[in-house]
Amino acid sequence: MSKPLRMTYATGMVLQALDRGCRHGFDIIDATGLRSGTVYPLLRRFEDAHLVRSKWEPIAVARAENRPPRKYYELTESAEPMLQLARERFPALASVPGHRETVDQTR
Amino acid sequence: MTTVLLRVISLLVPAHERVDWRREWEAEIAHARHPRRLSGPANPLLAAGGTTPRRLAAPLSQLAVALRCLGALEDAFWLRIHRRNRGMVLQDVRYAVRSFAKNPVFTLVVLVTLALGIGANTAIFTLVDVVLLRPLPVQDPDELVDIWTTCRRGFTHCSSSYPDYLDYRDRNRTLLDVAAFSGVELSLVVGDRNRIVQGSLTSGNYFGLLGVAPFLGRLIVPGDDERGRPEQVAILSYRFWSDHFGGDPGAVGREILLNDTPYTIVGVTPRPFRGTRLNAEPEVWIPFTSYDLIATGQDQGRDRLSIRSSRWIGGLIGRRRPGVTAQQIAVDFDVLSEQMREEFPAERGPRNVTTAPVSGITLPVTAGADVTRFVLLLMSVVGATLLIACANVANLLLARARSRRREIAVRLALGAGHGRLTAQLLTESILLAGLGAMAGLGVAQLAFAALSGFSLPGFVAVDSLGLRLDGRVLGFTVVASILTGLIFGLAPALHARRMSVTGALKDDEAGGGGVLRARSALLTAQTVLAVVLLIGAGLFVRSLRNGLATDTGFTTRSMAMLSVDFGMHRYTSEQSLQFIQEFARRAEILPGVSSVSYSILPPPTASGMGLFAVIDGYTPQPDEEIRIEYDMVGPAYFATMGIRLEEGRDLTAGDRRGAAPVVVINQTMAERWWPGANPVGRTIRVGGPDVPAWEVVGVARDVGRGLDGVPEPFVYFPMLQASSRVLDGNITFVVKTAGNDAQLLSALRTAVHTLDPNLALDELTTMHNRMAEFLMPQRMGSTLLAALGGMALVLATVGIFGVVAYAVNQRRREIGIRLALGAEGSHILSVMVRSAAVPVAIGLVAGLGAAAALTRLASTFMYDVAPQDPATFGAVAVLVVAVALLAAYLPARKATTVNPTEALRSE
Repeated sequence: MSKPLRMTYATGMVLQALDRGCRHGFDIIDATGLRSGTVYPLLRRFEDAHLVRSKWEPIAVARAENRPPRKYYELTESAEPMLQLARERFPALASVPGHRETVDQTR
Repeated sequence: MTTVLLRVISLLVPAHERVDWRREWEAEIAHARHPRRLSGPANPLLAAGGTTPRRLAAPLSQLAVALRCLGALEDAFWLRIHRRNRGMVLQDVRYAVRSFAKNPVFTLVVLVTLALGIGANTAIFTLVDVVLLRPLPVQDPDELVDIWTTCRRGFTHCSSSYPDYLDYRDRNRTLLDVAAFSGVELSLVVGDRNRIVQGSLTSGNYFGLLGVAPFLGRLIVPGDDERGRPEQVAILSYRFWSDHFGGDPGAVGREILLNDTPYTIVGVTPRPFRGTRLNAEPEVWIPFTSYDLIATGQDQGRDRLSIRSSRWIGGLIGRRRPGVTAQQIAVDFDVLSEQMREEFPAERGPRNVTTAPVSGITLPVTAGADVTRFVLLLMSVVGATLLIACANVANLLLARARSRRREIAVRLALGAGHGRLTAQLLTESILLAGLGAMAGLGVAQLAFAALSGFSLPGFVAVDSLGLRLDGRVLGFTVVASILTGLIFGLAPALHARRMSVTGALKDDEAGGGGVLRARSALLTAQTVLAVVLLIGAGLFVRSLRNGLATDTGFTTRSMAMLSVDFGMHRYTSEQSLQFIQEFARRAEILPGVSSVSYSILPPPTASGMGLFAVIDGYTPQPDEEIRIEYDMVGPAYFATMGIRLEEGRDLTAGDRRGAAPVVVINQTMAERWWPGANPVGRTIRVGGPDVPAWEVVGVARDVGRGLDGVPEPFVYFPMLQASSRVLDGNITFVVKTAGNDAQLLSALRTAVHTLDPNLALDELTTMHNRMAEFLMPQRMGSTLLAALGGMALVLATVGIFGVVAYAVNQRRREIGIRLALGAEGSHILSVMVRSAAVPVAIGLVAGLGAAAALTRLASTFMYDVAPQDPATFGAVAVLVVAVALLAAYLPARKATTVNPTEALRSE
């Protein structure tokens, strides 16, 4: 129904954040620094294109933290080619969602 | 708060996804506000790929959450557009457009109302943004600190000396670095004309400290400001470079003459960087130490950079060390100034140092509070206008929803869902708001053009602020218009939800009372706002009139003024004198000119120059210092300026070097030291009792300097008798004319350039314009408020008309019955007028009360008018009542023409 996805830098950032394990909308916003008005419509587009699937977090996890359950998003297998494309086009993505001091630690 | 907002926004989300959507957003916000939230990748294995592991993050602030909720609006729109049946959206849009076309007047009124409201808001918000909100376009602006030295009379925001600066920079412990800058006017030959440019002396670390990168070439760096460098460098501002060098990258490397001193252009600053002061946007930056080379007049060869007591540097800006608080910086500088006071007792070490964090542009020190107050005043005024516009549009939509009852009932009866209807009504109002916003942007452009002729308090010309629409302001407009759309779009949508289908189909009027109440409430609100705006307008107009009518003691009409700075051009005092006399001779014979004279600083500007005098025959009190303000003036000064001489004579060309020294004093001075006596023939001395005496030959009327200035003792010296140093500086010619000022200005310009084609005119204007600058806030306030108040009144009139017409229409049958039973037409008329009179009366009373409370906030800008001026309040009340009666009378008269038979039959 929607137009085919265009690979913009924002698209790449969100894909990259998802690939690195950010699963919730706000976590992706935290990691990428993008606006919520950019991130959410992108997630909806990914869902329509079957690049991500969304699920609700188990109720027990939420209850343990005394808050309502959150929705989470995971990349599907068909996201792999898009992710490759994004990394080829925007080499800078490698550093985007991470934090520099952590990179130093993992070395 | 966010829950309510999300609930409203969720109405946009297609129904089958709405609950899930709301749960998702609410859960995210709950988590974001959670005191121990974790953020980052959930799977530690994935985290090895180079990202942060899941870690504790600080809860988001209220503001950050609100900003993310704005994103929810975009998300909801996206879902609305993409997840719903597209055909349906198109259908809604087409339907909306058709219904707009069917009611062109309604659509036009709504669009114009919205466009004016949104346009005015956008323009003024841009102003607020530039003046108060926008951070400086530099690196980490919130780490910056302004530094001021306390001066005499305890004023805390005064200039510092260059040695002070070096000590502040090198001896503090809380700032990474301190940079200095100071405004200076420079002459620069551009093309074939010599012009005055705004220069900024800048320490070598200035651009580095701010973190500003060059647009072209390089900026001033440490090393450029070492003293005694053989080569001097200059930086151009982006605006100056594109205006006067045609944006030519080849300008870098070119040599220019500033005050006749060669400099090499080495770079251009980036476009958004306009310096750090609101009222002083530099066009050229040069290293601080080159002041030795460009100093003019009395400062020439004085080595001002080495004199600690010469405090003239108005700009010191520092960057705090990481983790240091404002409090710690203040303590650090208290200690430092204490030490410096002990070290330099003879040179008057700094009394105290004030430090203040800055992140936006620094407002003028003396007028900063006024600028803030004035801009906020404008913002609340246009905000009120947007509210009126919204109320009016809501009113119109309510009326329309009412008249569409039957159409909506038919659609409901045919099986349309409430959601579908709501969606359709929302589409209509958002479409209206969107079109209104677009038209509003056009209005904003017009408003910028209109505003650019004004200036803010403290002579900050709006023109110099470079107002233009940017992304943030665009965002503000879009949010404002969408909220407007949601607010007024919801009313009819909710109304449709409560509607009884059968009742509506039968044209049962049972629900009409609610609509009338809602419309009356809106009318009251509109009246309140209109009354407040009109009273504000009235007070500003009266202030302006009082200001213009004030007897200043000198002629304000038919007077041209032009200033030249001889020092900048390295004139010797003989050359200056020759120029002055030759120019006066040539100007005098220009057509329409009746007399010409000159002074250092003619009114209305406050002179600011003072001296200590001895009055012969007067014994001062112990500790009494006789401080007198002074000016140096040319022959026939008083005749030219139209300043009346109470006693004695005007100064003449004969009062020159070699002749007996004479002065003219003002009335205040005469009354203070020679009360009841004629001072003509008495003498004063300047600089001690043993110097030659100046004989008083005339007493002139007091003149108003500044606007609220209390007259001070004042003495006028003949410039031709003054020391030669005076002639190295700036002097202003005053030319009294009988004819057209504008034509005269160009003739005067030609006269100057015939004498010296290279001389840069500092200022060429008329006294009338000069006075107007002083009254600018009043002028701007009265123009804007009168325009907006007028608009509010028109909108309220439309509202009154609508309410009465609606009431007449709704009660047609009742009126018919009453008339049939023999009621008088005049009685019916008064009943109908009353339906608008009650809400207007409530609004009027509330509006007068609100105005009485609010105008006090604007009292700084009132001139000889009390904020609760009874005449203004009374006039506005009469005006509103008269307009309301007229607006109610016209539709009410229709009620008396109701034909009872027809009214009853129509059911």
